[in-house]
Amino acid sequence: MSIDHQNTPQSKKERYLTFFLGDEQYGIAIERIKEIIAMMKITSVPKIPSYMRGVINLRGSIIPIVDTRLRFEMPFRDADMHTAIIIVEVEKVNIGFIVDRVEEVVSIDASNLSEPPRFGGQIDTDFISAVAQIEENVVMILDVLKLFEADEIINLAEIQNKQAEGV
Amino acid sequence: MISQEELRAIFIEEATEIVEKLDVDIIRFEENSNDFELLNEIFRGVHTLKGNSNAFGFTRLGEFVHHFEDLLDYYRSTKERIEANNLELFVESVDVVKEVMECELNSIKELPRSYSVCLEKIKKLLDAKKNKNPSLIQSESREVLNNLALEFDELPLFPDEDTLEQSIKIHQAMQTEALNLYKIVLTLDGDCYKRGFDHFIFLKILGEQAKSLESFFSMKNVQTIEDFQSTQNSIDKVDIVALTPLVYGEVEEIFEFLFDHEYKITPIQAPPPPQKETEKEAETLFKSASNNNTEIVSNTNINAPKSTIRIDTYKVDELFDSVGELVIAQNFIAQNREIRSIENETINRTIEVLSKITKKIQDRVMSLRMVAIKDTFEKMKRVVRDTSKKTGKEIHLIIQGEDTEIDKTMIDSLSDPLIHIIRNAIDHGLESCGDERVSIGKSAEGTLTLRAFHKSGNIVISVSDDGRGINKERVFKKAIERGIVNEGENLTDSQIFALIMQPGFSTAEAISDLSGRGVGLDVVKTSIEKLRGKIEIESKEGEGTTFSIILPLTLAIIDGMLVQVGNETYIIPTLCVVESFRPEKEIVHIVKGKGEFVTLRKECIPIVRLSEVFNLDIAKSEPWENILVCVETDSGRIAIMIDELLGRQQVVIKTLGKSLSKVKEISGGAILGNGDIALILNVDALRPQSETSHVRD
Repeated sequence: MSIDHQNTPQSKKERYLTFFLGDEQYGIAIERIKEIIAMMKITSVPKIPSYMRGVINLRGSIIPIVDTRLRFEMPFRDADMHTAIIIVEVEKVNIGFIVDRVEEVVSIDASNLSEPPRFGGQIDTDFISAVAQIEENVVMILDVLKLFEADEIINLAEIQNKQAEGV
Repeated sequence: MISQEELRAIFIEEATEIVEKLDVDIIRFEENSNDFELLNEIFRGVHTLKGNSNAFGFTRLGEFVHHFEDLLDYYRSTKERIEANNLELFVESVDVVKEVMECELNSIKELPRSYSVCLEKIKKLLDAKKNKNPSLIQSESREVLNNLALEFDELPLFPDEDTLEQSIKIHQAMQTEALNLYKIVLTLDGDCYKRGFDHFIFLKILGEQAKSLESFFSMKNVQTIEDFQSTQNSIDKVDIVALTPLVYGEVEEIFEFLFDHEYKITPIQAPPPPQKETEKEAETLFKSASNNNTEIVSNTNINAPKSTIRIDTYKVDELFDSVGELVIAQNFIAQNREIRSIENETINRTIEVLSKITKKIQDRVMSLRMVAIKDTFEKMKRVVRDTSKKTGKEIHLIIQGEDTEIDKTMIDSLSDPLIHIIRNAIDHGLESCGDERVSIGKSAEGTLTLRAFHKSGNIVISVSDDGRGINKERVFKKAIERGIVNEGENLTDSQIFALIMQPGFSTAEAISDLSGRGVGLDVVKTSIEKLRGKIEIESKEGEGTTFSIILPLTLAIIDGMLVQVGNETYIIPTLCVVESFRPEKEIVHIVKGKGEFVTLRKECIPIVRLSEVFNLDIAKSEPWENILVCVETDSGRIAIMIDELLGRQQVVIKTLGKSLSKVKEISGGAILGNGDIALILNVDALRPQSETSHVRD
């Protein structure tokens, strides 16, 4: 099936879920997204980076939650009726990202993606893998892996290694 | 269609099981070498292993097992008493089988030296025995020739139903009470060679055990030489008529590597009553039938197959997870205030029933993961035997509670710690020689007791020896020398005993004069802690030592104490809780620069404020206004200060996800009845750093 897919003209189009933080629009590749849920009770966990808000109980699974605003060093904002949690799979682990508002799913042709700008904007460009123009708006495509600090990624790998050794 | 990889995996799994069983059986047999039923059992295991390893091209293993089988078969059929030194050879052979299998599985070219040595010994012994008993061998080989003659001579190559029927009739005439007649139809797929299968191996195996075997190959699809394809099988059907002492199940076993549709075994005449199951070799039967009939009858019931299915543990785990969620959801309903306020008898009763059923399902699913510890204990017999031989100490092993059930995942990681402890007990625990024991009024033979039992929601596995016990002063002195404790420290007996499990504490010099093995008890401790268990040591000088491994019933559920601090709910594993109390103002002390302490029965215990460790935003209050929960940690007791005790509950442990697992103080989370998450405290990480620094290397 995947071979067919590559041969069709639409193949260069990738689908992204877009959402807002303040006035800025971001996108995450749709394959990574498990589900979108409404804001729910978050249990705080001590001694974790401030942008990690804690954990939630998603139908029996405990899932860590990142406040995307705080991660991007934007001011904290109380949840309202639009606030949503996007559950994203990162390195085989589900992680929830709190966003201000979920917008839509868009198809973006690979040719419309461009290199992220090296300056300006409110956030560190490391998180942004590409920028796309959709009508009036600029959508910043996020690299979810980079949303975690380098040492955390190493940590993930370490934990996996340890588990592998343990077995 | 099953791939070769999968087949290989099945082979490995089965072979490992067989070898493990052999290992246990051979020791049991060593204890009682008159138990020919057990010898039969061993023979069957070796036999299956032979068939399997040849089918998978593990020829070196096959070759060895083949000779070993011959040897076993000799004793099995002659019922000759086995000489002690030959018994040793049996045990050795099982070891070689283990090693060779390791080599085969890892494709190691070089075989261990013991392989050829042991094989040579087997062959020699076999030759010696056969020369003594030539008649047996000759009749056997003649039989093989007869079979060959039957197979190839005077038979039409193209079978039709008539000749098949005829053959069955002939065989029926030959049939005696001890022989069963089967019609077996093999349906062979065109690509069966590609699967690496030569179906005729099965024919060969069956032939070896049959009185007479006739086979009819369907040649109607065979191509001419021009169309011949070496990878294509064109014999699509083979009819076999076999007259054999094997019972249906045994015949089926031979073909069990084939797919169900590939073979069909039809017993001609109804399958005989089980009394007719006998020795596999007809010759044996003729020899023994006259005097051993009754014994054979009694053997059969023991071999009745147990009906079991294999399930991937992953599936059981998934089921277990779902049931955990079911329990949580059920608790939610049972505890929900709004639902409880409904005054409707039917609803209330239904909720009641629901909770009972849920509990039942939980118990049953839990029991799926539980296995008796018996097999592990059986393995330990071997360890005791070997260690006993190596140290030259005579040991009487007592095993109790081998039917105690324990989580399968725990069983697997329990063997190594147990081996460590047992070796330790024999090597260091027991007196170095019988005379020494006799001189202090003990029996020359040391006693080692292996026990498993339930104790307040936990499983305890204990290893006790009646040796010299632990010398507290020497341990304490050694610990001071190694810088593990400070000179002035006031330790309880159990704390002193626990020192021998600290890393860097060499047991060899301190406890016994025998040294050199370097058994690291700290490794044992760590692996037991990984299973959320703990080790307790009791010892009386001159009387012996008991190591108790205390484990939770299962890995997935812990018994937890729910406590409240500020607005947060935490869970303290009940296993480590010593007591909880509201302290008097008088017993709380503040030591400058070191923090707060509470004196409990002359023991000075540091107080840990969760609000400080976790930077919680709550008003500071005094310890005597709160409750202290005294817990046992790696490095001594601490008193955790909490606002309130909420209760005790069994909770399903969940990880917080990899990104949060670096928070040392938290070992996981659990979902409570109301859907909230409570964090489980890792008490070992709560002790203030300044206190622990000297204990941790």
